[in-house]
Amino acid sequence: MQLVVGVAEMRVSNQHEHVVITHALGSCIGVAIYDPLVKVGGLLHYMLPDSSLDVEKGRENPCMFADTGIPRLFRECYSLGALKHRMLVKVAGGSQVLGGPEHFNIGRRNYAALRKIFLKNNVLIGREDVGGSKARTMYLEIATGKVWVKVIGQNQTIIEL
Amino acid sequence: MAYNVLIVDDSATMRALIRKVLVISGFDVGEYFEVGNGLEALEVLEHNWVDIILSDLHMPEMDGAGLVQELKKHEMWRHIPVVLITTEARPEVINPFLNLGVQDYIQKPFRPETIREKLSGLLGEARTTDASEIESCDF
Amino acid sequence: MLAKLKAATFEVLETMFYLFPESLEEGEILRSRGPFLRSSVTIAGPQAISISVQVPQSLARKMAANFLGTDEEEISQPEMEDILKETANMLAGSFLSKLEASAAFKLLTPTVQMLAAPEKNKKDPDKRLRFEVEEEVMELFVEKR
Repeated sequence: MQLVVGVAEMRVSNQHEHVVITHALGSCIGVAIYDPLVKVGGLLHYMLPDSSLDVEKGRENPCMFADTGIPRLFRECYSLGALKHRMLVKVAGGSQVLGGPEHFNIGRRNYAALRKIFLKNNVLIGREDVGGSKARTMYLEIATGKVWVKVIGQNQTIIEL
Repeated sequence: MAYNVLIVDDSATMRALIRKVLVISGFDVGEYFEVGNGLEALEVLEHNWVDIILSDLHMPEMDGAGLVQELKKHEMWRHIPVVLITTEARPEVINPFLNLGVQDYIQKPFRPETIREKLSGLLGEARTTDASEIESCDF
Repeated sequence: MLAKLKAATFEVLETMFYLFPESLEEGEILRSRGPFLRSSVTIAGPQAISISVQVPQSLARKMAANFLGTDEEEISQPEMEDILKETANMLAGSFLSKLEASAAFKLLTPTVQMLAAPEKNKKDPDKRLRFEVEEEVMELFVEKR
């Protein structure tokens, strides 16, 4: 059964039949975390790096921002029995639609925000597929913790992260 | 088996970051030794068992080149794996070290994940670990 | 050459400090409050130059906190000075790599100083890069030695 994560949303699950999916990751970032021992996982699809851009929105919809969404993703998985030190972390998205480093590049900023939060909280990324200019779809299978990324383009390739 | 690690860099904040990344990576580290140049590194080696050396190149007193030359002269130290963590990536600068038997190098600026990847194997397997003892976290 | 230094700056600040500098045009006014920290590193060789990076202390504090993954309150004065030296060192190293400079060019140990007011570089004003970083000014100077 598919659980679809919309833009600025997240889903966590411990139901083995669930595959958590998020579509249309462009400059947004998808973060999949999974505890293989208790088979609990979650997927977040955030849009922007920092809720200080709009504190009110951050309160209303924490999953819109990296700094409010990422802690919430981990905590919701903890509430289903996951432990931080067992968590496998996979990341996709953050693509760049236009221009070089001088452009206000939201994809790169989204990715840098994630890395900053992770370093502060002692988390390293296990596998990732970030950057480029294509949109991606991300899948997390709760039974196994496997993550796939489909790159949207002429030949739609699917890779396992 | 726990590995004793010697970090040689004249920047204390860089040493602190490298150490933090080793802890988060879950490497099985026994003792950490941190020093600011090659001479101090030799001093640590005189008195302690070290399994791997992570060294900068540009340092005062004795730089990374001087340190590697000293290591290769001594039977006791010759086989200790050395990984350079340096701003240098120019082949003319790095290649002579690789020819001398330096295991690998990591260019600054680096991502923490690169440290974990490059040191996997040399420092055993990275495993997920409870790093919560290092400091308070937001989650 | 300045384009390569600019690229090195973006790379170092994004990778190790999670910061995104934006170029300021000549004459574009943005003031930061002091004190300032300025670190210089000499590239010795056939044509020796020094590269200096100057930031207000508040930005050095933010840089050190981001670098170490800690809070700004935890950062000490020596850590701010140290991080600026390491920044100058990484900028110069990355710059040399991008130039594919020969091994005859060597990086020397960076120095750091504290300045009450931002130091102007009147001798050679075209060898200057100015960036806005988190609403503060970061300046880079390239000087012949």
